[in-house]
Amino acid sequence: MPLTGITFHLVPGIRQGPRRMVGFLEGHRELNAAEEFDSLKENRKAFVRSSIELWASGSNDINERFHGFTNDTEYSLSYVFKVKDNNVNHRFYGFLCNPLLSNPRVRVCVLCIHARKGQHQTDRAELARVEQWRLSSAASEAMSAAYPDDLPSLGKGKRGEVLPWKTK
Amino acid sequence: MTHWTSHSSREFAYSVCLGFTAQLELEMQRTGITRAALAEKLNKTAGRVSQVFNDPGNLSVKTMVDYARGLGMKVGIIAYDDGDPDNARGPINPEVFVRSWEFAGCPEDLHEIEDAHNAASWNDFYVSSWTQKHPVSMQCVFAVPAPAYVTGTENSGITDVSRIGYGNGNITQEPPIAQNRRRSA
Repeated sequence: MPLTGITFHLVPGIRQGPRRMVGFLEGHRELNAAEEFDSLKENRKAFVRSSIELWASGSNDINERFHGFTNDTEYSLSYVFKVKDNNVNHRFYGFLCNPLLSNPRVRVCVLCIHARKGQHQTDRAELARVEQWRLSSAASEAMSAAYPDDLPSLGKGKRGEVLPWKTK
Repeated sequence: MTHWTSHSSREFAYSVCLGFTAQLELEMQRTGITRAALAEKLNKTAGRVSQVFNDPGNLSVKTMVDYARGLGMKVGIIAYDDGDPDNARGPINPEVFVRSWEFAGCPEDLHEIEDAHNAASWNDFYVSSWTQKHPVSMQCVFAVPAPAYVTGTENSGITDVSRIGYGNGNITQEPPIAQNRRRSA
């Protein structure tokens, strides 16, 4: 376990892909995605699980369910999964990273923050918080612990760090 | 830990319905058809259509067909054996089956699949299969290794094979042939 207490674990009980995986970053009061996911009603959980499985198996973004922010220069690596429960719109924000230098095709969506939103509203404050976590050494350490990679660094980036060429 | 759909058929059915509505949403996204427009076409309220997409529950086959037909699509219900009798891994994304069918040249019967097996190469099959169905004047053909696909347009009944290219490894890209076939249908 990383010294910072921040840990990463895959969303349990779902089909994760060999190239795409989704999990939660936990260990800080701001990292509430896992806790809020657990508190959803069963059929809302099923909705999110299904969305995660679709993404993990390679699906295109389905904007009503999950999408990235590729056109956003500041938060292009952020990602969100959505689910509606009556009039409450739940958002699970996270970031994308490639944790294995030895296999750059492995891409992980690291869910960090949960928020309740209006129908089509994305709060950039949440994206900013996610970005802070993405760049944090604690998250990097957690990803390195979850994805140990014996490949020596080629000097092109730290383990767990998202390199620009991997984002395309 | 077992898969979330492995506890009951109800959960599995819910997953199937969510996968189905996801396919419709992808098509609506591609074509720009809104939920409101679909509701009008189906003679249903926008609220009912949104409900189906937000929480499909256990959709009837009739409802599935109505919604798919409303978008100009068809529905096939398939049973498959993925070597997972206890459903430890859960269902396969239905888009996998659709893409596989499209990458196989959208065969309409089993003979076409047999032809694919007997073809000298996958690319030969793909091009010949497509051109047989869509008489064309080939403008530009590159020899490419499989998998490849044909892009073209079918405006005014004139088909133009303008490019044959590599599959670029981007699994999110829909083979244009599928779009063409949909348009020509």
